[in-house]
Amino acid sequence: MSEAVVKIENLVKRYKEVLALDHFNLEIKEGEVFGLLGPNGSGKTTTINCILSLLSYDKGEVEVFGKKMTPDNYEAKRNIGVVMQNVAVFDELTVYENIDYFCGLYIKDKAKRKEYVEEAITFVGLEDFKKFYPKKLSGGLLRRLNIACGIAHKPKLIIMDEPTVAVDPQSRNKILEGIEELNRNGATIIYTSHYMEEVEQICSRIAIMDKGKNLALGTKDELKKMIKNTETIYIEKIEVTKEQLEAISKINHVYSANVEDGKLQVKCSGGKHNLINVLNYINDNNIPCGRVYSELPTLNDVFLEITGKELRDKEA
Amino acid sequence: MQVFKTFFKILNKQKHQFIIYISIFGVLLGVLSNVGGNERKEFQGSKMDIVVFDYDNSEESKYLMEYLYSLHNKVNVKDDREEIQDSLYWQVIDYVLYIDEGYSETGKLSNIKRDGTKASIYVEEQIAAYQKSFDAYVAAGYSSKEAYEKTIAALDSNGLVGYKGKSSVELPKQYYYFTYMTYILIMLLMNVMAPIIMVFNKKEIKDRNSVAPMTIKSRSTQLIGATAVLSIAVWAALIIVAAIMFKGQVFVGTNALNLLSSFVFLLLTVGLVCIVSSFNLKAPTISMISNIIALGMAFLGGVFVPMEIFSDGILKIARFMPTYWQVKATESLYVDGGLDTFFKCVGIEALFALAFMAIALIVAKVMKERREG
Repeated sequence: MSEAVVKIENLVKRYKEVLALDHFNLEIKEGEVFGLLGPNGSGKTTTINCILSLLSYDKGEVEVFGKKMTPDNYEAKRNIGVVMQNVAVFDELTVYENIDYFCGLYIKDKAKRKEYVEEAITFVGLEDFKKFYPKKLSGGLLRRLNIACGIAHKPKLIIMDEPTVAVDPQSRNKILEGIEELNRNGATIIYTSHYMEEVEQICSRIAIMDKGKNLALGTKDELKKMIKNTETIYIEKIEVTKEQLEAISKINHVYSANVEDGKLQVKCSGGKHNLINVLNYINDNNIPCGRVYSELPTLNDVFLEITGKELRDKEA
Repeated sequence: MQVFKTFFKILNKQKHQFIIYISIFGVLLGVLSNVGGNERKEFQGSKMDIVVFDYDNSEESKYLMEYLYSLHNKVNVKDDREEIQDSLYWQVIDYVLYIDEGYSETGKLSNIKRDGTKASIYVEEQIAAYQKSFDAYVAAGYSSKEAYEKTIAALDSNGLVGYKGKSSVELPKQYYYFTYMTYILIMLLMNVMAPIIMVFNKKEIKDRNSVAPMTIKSRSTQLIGATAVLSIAVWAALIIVAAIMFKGQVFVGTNALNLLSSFVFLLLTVGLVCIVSSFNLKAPTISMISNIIALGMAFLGGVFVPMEIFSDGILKIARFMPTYWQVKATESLYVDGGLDTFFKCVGIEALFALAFMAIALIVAKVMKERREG
C-alpha cells in the first residue's frame, strides 16, 4: 500500500469568528491526483495554505512526506511545487526569467536549472513567448506561466489551487492534459477547484468540502454511489395529467417525477432499463412529447444531495 | 542569491527611469546649491561704476569722494561732456558726481546719471545718508576728520541685512548641497527603491518564496543586502558629485563631517522607504507619497526655507522632522554651534533611523497578521 504524502488530522482554523476549517481530516497517497472540491469559501485554499505552512492553525496536525509540516521543514518544501490561485509572477521579468527565478529557489546548479526551465517552457507550451513580459500574455498563457513557475523544479508533490480560473477552453484543456502527464511522470497532485467537470476528469480521488468540513471522500464512482439518484430522465414539451405524473412516479426504480415549464424530470435510483420503462409508459398512453434524454449523476448532484445546495452559483 | 540578483535585475530593467531620476535630481541638487550659495550676497551693497569730479578741493569734499570710492568702482573719465555722455550710454559708468566749488560751505552737489536707473537712486541715497550723518556730527562739535570717521562707522554698522543668527556669516555652497541632499535622497530612494522592495512584498510573490526551501533569514538578508548596496551606491554617487563640484573639499576638515551626517540621514531614509514599502501601493501612489514626504520634510525641516522665518509653533513641529536635525547638523559646521551640536543632531538622526526601522518591522508584522486573519 502506498504511503501517505499528506496527512491532515483534526485541523481547525479560525478567522476571528469564522470557522474556516472544522476538525478537517484528510489523507493523500503517493501517486494520486487528489481533488478538493467545494464551493467558494468552503475552505479549500485555507487547507492548502495550512499544508504549506503559509497559515498557522488553531488545532490539529499536518504531515507532509511523513514529517510534521512547519515553516522550516525545508526538506519537505524542496519536494513541493505550488501553483497559486492568484498568478504569482514578477511583472518586471520575462517568461524565461520568471521560471528561472522560481526554479532557482530549488535548483542551484545552473546547467541543470537551464535544462529544467526549458523543459517547463515546453511542457506548458510557451516556447514562443520566452521573452514576453507577463503583462503581454493572455489570461490563459499567464496561467500556464504560473504553472511552469510551480513545477519547473520537478517536485514530487504538486499543489494546484484553482489553476484554471478565468482560462479559455483551449488553455484549460492544455492545463488538464499537463496535470495528467505530470501525474504519469510520478508526481502526486492535489487539485482544488469548484469546476466539478475538471475534478471528475482528472482526479483519482475526491474530497467534497463545505464550511470547512470534509463531507464525502472517495473516487467519483464511489461518491456517486453514496447518493440515491443513479439516473435522471428528461422529456421536453410533454403534456401530462396529474394522474399520469403520479403513475410515472410509481414506475419501478423511479423515486421522483415532476414537470416544470413543460419539461418532465424523472429521477431514478438503481435499475438498468429506466429510460425504456418510462418511454413505454409514454407510448402506451399516447402522451405527446418532444426531445428525450437521460443524464447520469454528476458531482454537483452528489454535492446537492449532501448539502441541499448547488456546487456552483447558477451562471447568468 | 536569487532574491539579491533579481532585485538588481529588476533595477536594471528600470535603468532608463533610474538614470532619468539620477540626472534630474543631480542637476537639481547642483542648481539649488549654487542658487543657495548666492542667496545671501543679495543683501550686500551692489557696486556701481562711478566717477567723481571734485571742484571744491576741500577737506569735506575729499572725505565724500573717499567714501563714495570705498563703496563703488572708480572709473577714469575726463570731464568732457561728450565723453561722459558716451560712457553713460555704453554703460561704462553708472553715475557722475560733481562736487561744486563751495561745497564745504553750501553742501551743493550736481550730477549726471542715466535716467530711470536704480543705480542713480541708490548712490543718491548713499550720498544723502552720508551728508546727513556728517553734518550732524559737525554740528555736534566734531572736527571734519572725526565727523567723517564716525559717519563711516555709523553707516557701516547699518550696512548688512540678514536673518537673525546667520546674518554675519556667508554660508558655503557645501552647506546648501548637504541640506538639499536630504530632499534628493528621499525622492530618489522612494521612487527607485520602494517599488522594487514592494515587488518582493507582494503577497503572491511572498507566498511563493515562503513555500520554497529558502530560509526567511536568507530571504531577508538578501533583500536587506540589495537595499544596502543600492542606497549606498546612490549616496556615493551624490558624494562624488559633491567632490567634483567642490574640488575635493568635501573630504577636508570639518566638511568631511557632512559625509557622516548625510550617511546617517541615508539610513533613516532607508527606514522610511521600508515603512512605505510594507504597504501594497501602486506606482502613482508611491510617487504621490514620496512627494508629500520629501516636500513636507524639506519645507518643515528648513531645507527650502530658512528656519529663522519659522514661528515658534512651526519650529516645535519642525523638531519632529529628521531634516530639521540634518540642517542643524550641517549648519553647526559653518555657523556657531560646533562639534557638540553637530554630534547631538547626528545622534538624533540616528534615533530617527532606529525608530523608522522599528516601525517598518511592526508594520510588516501587522500586515502579516492581517493577512493570516
